[in-house]
Amino acid sequence: MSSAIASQARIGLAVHQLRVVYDDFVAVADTSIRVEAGESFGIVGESGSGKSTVLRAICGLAPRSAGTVELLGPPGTALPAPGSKAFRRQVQMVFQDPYGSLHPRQTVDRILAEPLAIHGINDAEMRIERALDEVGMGTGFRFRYPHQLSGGQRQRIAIARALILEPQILLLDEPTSALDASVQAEVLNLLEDLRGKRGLTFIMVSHDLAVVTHMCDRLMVMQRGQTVELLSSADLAASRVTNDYTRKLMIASTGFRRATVAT
Amino acid sequence: MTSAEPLPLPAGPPQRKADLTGGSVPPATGERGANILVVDDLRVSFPNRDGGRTEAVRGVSFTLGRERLGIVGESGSGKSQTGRAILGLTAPEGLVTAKRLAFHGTDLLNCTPRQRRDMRGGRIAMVLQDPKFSLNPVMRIGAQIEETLQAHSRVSRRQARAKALAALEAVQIDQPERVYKLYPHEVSGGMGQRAMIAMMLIADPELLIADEPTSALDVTVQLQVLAILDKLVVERGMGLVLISHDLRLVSTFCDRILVMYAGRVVEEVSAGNLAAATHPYTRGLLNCLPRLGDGRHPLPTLDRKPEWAL
Repeated sequence: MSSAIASQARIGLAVHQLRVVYDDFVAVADTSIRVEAGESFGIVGESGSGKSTVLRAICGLAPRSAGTVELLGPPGTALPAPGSKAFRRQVQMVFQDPYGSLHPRQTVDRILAEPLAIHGINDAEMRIERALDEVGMGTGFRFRYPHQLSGGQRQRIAIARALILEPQILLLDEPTSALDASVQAEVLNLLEDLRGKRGLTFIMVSHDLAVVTHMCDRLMVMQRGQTVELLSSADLAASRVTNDYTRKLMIASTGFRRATVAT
Repeated sequence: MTSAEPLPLPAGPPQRKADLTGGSVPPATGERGANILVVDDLRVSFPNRDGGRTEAVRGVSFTLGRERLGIVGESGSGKSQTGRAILGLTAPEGLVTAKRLAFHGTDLLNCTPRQRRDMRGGRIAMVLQDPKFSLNPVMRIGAQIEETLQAHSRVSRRQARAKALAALEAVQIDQPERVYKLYPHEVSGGMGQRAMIAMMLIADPELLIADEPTSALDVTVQLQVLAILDKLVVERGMGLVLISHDLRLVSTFCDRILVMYAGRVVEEVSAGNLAAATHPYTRGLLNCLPRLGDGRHPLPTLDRKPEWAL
């Protein structure tokens, strides 16, 4: 199925005037982003800024009150509409908490087989082995339960589950914030490596400026559902920042300083 | 922070730079330089499946004066168990032993449960990681703060209320009257954490053990909470043990850092001298963090040597 898209064609994603409203609460207000094929785009903000909600609205986990989401591909290719099964095969998500996002009573094998079953893909055996291999886990882990794995190993399984459908776009919602620093480095390296090999498009959400600038070319800063600033990682690294809130985040990321914290 | 390249370092046995004084410490006398807490060869073990015991903390020693001490390590390094053992909050199946574990000269391991209870919350207090799980969900914040006070001193209702409000103000809550009446689910994470700090401070402890007090908070709120702790340490002359996995944050906040790995202190460094840390584990931890404006791809990863855990 979904043979309309050559699996090698790189695709990007455009979000136009996205708005997510829960009752009276505006979680995301009129946000537009355009991520070119093969690009890595970051979204930074505090909790409650709506950064995760943008990702969830893209893949259909949060209600879109207004705005459009569309895939960008080479001209002439038919691209699936948001919400369709073919769209979900192209756009997969990795969640923040590897302790909560894997089914506790399913083995790794079962977890990885499920997306394949949903999308009617036959050669499960081979794909599961390849997916485990790609994320650096031997087949020895195949019949383990999540509680028998460490946090880093679980996140690798979550990445394998997202990649097993060979999507072109990966939505990463704080993929390393629950992990130790050394494990974070391993998982970030793995993600970069996979992006290089497969030409994936990343949209990564994080509260850690250093992680986002490490992984992404461009980034967006959000505060209370609004886009505060759009800038390139190089600009951020060189402190070419125009917005006060972005500056505040930058200072905060350098650690505690007695003088800078207003009490 | 140092150069981007991981330096080739001789992998050796755990190094202790400072003289971690043991049981020969004289009892606390003066204000400055006095040891509030002496920990010598602390061990905490838990039964494992094979019928034996697994040591989570394997011989940790340090002394603490009126200062900010950071204990840093990854999950499973025994840093939280160290903090819990000091307070006597180790799970019942855990076994705590030490050559000496003394608070102001009082032996914590051999004192009566009553003495221990009086100390806990009164003279030694602890701030836990996640306000969502550590506050009582069915008690108003004000009542929870007063509970600590009533457990340790005889106060009238009115006095208790005044003190609770003052404590909320001390942790920079804008409308203490309003927050006093709220339930934990009605406040944000940062506010909940401040309420928890208020609760710990109301009995005027001499030692505060903060176990990942800011990990559940946003970076900007994190700094506010740390600023509050900092102010309290300076103004009240408390001793503070800050337990965290975040080496960078601790290095900017504490005076001294103990780096733990596999239940042991592998290195002690003064916070200003973190760049001069010599143990390969400490250096590895510092190195593997992404930093603003340096393009190291891929990031260096930590190559764990089995001899570090010896």
